[in-house]
Amino acid sequence: MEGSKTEFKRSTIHIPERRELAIVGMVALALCVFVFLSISYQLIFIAYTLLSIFIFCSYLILWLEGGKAEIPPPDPAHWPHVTVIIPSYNTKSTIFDCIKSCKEMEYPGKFDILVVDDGSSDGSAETLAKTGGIAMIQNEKNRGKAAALNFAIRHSKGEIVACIDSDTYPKKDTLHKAIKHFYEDEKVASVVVFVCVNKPHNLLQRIQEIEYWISFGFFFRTIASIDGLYVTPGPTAFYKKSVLDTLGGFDEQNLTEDMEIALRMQKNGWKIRACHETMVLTEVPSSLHKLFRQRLRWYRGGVMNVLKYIELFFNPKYGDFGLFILPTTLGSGFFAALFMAWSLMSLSRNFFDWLSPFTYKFAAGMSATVAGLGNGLFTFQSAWILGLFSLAIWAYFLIKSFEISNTKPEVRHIIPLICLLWLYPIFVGFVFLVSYIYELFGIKYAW
Amino acid sequence: MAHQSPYLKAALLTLAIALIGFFFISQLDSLRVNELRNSVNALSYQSESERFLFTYSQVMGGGANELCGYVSKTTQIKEDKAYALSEKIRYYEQSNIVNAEYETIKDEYYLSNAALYLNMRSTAKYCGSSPYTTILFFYRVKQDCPECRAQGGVLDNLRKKYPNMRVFAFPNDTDHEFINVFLRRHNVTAVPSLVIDDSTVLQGLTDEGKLSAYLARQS
Repeated sequence: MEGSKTEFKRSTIHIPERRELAIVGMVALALCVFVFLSISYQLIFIAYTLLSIFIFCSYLILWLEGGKAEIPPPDPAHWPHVTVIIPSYNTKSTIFDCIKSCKEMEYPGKFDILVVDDGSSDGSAETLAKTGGIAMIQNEKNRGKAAALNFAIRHSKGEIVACIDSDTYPKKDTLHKAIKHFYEDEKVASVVVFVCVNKPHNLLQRIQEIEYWISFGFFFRTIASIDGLYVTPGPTAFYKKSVLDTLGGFDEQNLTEDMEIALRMQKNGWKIRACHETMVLTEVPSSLHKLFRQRLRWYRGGVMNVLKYIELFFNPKYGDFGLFILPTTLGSGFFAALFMAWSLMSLSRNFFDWLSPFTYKFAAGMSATVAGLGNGLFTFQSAWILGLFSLAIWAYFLIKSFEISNTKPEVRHIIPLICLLWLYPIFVGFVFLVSYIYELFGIKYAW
Repeated sequence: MAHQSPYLKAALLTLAIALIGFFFISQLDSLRVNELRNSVNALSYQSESERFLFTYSQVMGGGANELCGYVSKTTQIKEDKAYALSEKIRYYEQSNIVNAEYETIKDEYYLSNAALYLNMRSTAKYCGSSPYTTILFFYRVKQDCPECRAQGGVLDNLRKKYPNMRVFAFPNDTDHEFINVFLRRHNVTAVPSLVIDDSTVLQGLTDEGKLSAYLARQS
């Protein structure tokens, strides 16, 4: 749905509540930054690193005890009818490849493809209408992805609906492998598959390729082993239609409806399973600007959903999901924003040292006083030793992620990896910070 | 919590990592403290030996030529270290986590530095003249001082142009009587401040051009 110009309508019901909470959040953020600046950053760094190590160790143990062994479930006695739903809005460059991949899927049961055109203006609707082997329904006006999905779900005939983005290409066995997981437990309402990047062309896409392997590979598999998935990724997710009907479908006012539906399922005691025996390939943003827009939507949606489902956080009723997964995944955005705010303040202080009228002419000499910069970011050396441990655990996760994606680590991965480790967190932290600020000021979201 | 044991195991693993980590951190900190200690001891040794020679020549009556030659030679070598050491101490102290010896090291360093300054002034007096221009540089340590960093940059730049310039850096906000006597003598109230050859006092940030002019006049 990327690239459309429709303005997203914010929920009028939640604004006052969200706004108050956002203000509380920003005050908390400011307080934390104040604390960061007033006590030794050594202590902050050590505390932060030890917390990270604990979280990493937890994921490591969870992986070793559960995530590592993803045993494919046996074939079910009855293969359910599946409706593949592809929402489309001005997607003529990718949707026909997507439909082709969907048609090529091999599945023992019955499946049909339903494309919902969400008021496209690029001529794709006309071509789609002439395409054989699919059914098409149309929205007169563009109403957003969630509304398009709901519209299609109402028209679907399958017991299971497979929501596949128009820029995503499933493998031949995707349907066959994923559907089996619904029969692991009668409470399984959704199955997600391993989402990978389709043909990365530039460095930014190669960075995302590795990021997807780690996130959708290692972490999703580990989190799914304790039924803790907090998002059913937009590119491809399978749902029991009956559960969607019971829950009332996707939230049409939500920026990240894929996260919202997952949280709603968790809240209502449904389970989400992950299937890594197959994968889907998806297009990812090719420029920093596009990536910024995508992540801003994700993170703002994240903030929106954290606030909407705040009662799940640290709630023992929801077990691992409430006590560990939510705080360490969705909650970590807060720390990312905090770290970014702190870094920007430190950097700006040093930057203004440089630019101030007294000192600008000595810029050349400043390089000699490296220790001067030490007040800011660059003097943690002793504490970096702890950081090395967390890096070592992360490296293990990385190796496992490569294994999950059946990719052999090669020299060409080194530069994207270095960027993923050192530059990408800065970008992510920055987008988190911007998303908090946008939420605070209630800035409207445009697709 | 349904899965309590994984988190307990993770906590134990974290504890083990923290213990190993802090062991290495303390080793690293100790290595650096030892390095600084050796440097400060060397400074201290130098100032002591110079002082001995002064006392010797005054009590026993020695040749001024020999003494002046020796002092000026050793000063040339050690002063470079003395100034660089102040930055190193600051840098190491900021990186340090477990070692508590920095206050003592700093005190000893300031004292040795002050003694070396005094020796240099004595040399100039005793030997009639000195090829060196001495600069006392006062900065602040308890609060951030961007101007002090800038002043440090200016001095570093000028040291390349004027190799005979000798800088002795002292914080103005520590309670050391041997620093306070300098501050009182020259009525230094602001930071950064510079005292050139025990006579010219420049309070506040002095830019490169102005300082360069003073140094050119001195030499």
